Amino acid sequence: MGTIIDHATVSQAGWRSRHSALRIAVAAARACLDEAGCPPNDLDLLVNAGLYRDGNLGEPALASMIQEDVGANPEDPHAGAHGTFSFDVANGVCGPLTALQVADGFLRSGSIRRALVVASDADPARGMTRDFPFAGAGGALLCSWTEDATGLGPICWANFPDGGESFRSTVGYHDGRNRLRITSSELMDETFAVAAAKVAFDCLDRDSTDLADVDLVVAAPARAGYAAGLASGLGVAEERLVVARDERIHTAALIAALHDATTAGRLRPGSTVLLLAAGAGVTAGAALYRVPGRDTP
Amino acid sequence: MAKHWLMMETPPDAVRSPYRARLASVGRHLPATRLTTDALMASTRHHTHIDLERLTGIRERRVSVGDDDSFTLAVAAAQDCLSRSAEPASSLDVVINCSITKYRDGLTQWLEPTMSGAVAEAVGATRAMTFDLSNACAGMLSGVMVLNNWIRQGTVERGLVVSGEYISRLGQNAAHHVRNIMSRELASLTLGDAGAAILLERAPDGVKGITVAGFTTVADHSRLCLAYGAGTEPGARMFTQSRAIQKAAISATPLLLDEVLDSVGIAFSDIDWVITHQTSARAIKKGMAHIIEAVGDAPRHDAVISVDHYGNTASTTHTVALIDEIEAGRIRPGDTVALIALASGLELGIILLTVDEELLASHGHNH
Repeated sequence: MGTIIDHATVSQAGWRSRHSALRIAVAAARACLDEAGCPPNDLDLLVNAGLYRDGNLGEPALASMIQEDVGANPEDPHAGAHGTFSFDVANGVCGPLTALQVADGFLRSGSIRRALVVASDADPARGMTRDFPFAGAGGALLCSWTEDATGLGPICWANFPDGGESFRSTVGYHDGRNRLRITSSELMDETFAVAAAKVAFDCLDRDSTDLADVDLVVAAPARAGYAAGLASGLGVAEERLVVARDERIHTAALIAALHDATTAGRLRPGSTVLLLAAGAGVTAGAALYRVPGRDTP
Repeated sequence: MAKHWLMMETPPDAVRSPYRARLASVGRHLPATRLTTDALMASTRHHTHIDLERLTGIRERRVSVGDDDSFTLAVAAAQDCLSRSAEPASSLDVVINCSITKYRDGLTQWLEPTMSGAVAEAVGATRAMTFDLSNACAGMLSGVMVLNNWIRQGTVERGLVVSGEYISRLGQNAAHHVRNIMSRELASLTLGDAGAAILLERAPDGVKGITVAGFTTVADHSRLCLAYGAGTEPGARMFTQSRAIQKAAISATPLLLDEVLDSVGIAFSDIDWVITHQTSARAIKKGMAHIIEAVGDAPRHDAVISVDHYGNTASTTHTVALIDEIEAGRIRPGDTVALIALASGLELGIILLTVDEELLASHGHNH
């Protein structure tokens, strides 16, 4: 019994969308719904976990614009039909895991049947930052509920507060205009890997599952240094660990890792996957995911 | 699943949602400095010929004069809230920050790490999972919606929904640009600063707590109120089509209210207090009159108005107004309160709750 991921997609910024997290998110959401054969009106909940967005929009939630642009029950409420609820969460690279937890709660209570988790980032605007370190990219996850024994388990979290020393991004007023400033420490990936490994073992302990029974670790962020640190921290071979192909993908990294693992045929039905994310804070989250469906011999 | 427009959490069902959540305590922090509407309008660059006080009913708002920012407002509100609770901060399972503004050290907006993590650390919620939720002025009530869902299922037992809004800077920026009453930055002049916090916990048997919570996004209107980082001014600017928002909200609310009332089998007149988002006294009165006419029934008391002395404090308005009513001793044990969210998105939400004696006692009222 649990939340299952019906489909995962990723999208890359084009020339016209290179400053628009909104357009990238809409492209990912549309592709996800299309490929899964889910009409937009079937969505009950849309949660966006992206951070770096068009002009650093503060309100509304970017999710409401995504909802309008994909056409998920955008019209005025009327009797005999259902609407869609949209909002944003922010938790850095861990955002999609947070969004999954929110969706899981409402799926579990029966308040909704289908949820879309979206995340995207783009350089907010020309002149705002000199070296935007992340790829203009996004992803979407379509989720629903299953009554069988598969799906998402409880999500474990841990905070290791460092005041933003490992990674920090702010928008502040410097030299006559608002600028995005991103700083990170040299030890960032090492620190994130340690945090992720710690919460991974907490999660396995709570579920009384042995790491040996985990078929695949799907992790974010996607940087090689983090992946290597995590593999050694967990004591698993790097082949059992999947991160997104694009190292520079940020809030959508976990979604992209799921997508890349799926297209590579590595999310086998019946297998046990450990979802792991760590980011600024330092905040780390982990959950076990039992891939639905039956393995074909 | 019954067909209703709202995404709704209805009374418990023993299997899926066996528990209820109650408001254990509420807290707020208001900056000491008062800015009157007269003083603000005297600071505009252009001769606007706008009688903002007559238009909105706002006499004054609280503003930070650099002594507070979003983070310090949120922390002070969280501490006020926790000081009224019997349990320590270390017992919190989750802290959700829901502010639009995340200014720290003046007007520096933090994107990462989260403000929730910083608030949790500052108040000593060492065990809590943390994340930020953004949903314009519906942020805190959206946070309540999520936390209520988790508490009902037993995923968590106690959590803090918090917000700090240092948003008056948008009013200062608008004062440079507003020329006349048609200005899309007019609504920015109504903003005030505040911090607010709500502590939710699993209710003991027999305590009603939150009975229904429902939300929807009417996304056709998603572009009616936009705020973003100003290019060449500190802080941000906000552009609002207030009339269009009011019109859409008035037309949608009766149906949504009916859905909520139907789900628990009560009438509008069974509700004691209605606390809407505080935009302007005139808009609240006019909106309520429309809804009362459409529903054909009225709550026991007039809609709560606190915007006249605090202005629009963004995501914190409902909590700030609720505390006003509690501290004045107007809310009695067992009273039913409807919190109605209306925010850019267009976000519409209704949370129905019953206030218990313990909550009132935490503010020094023994009924």
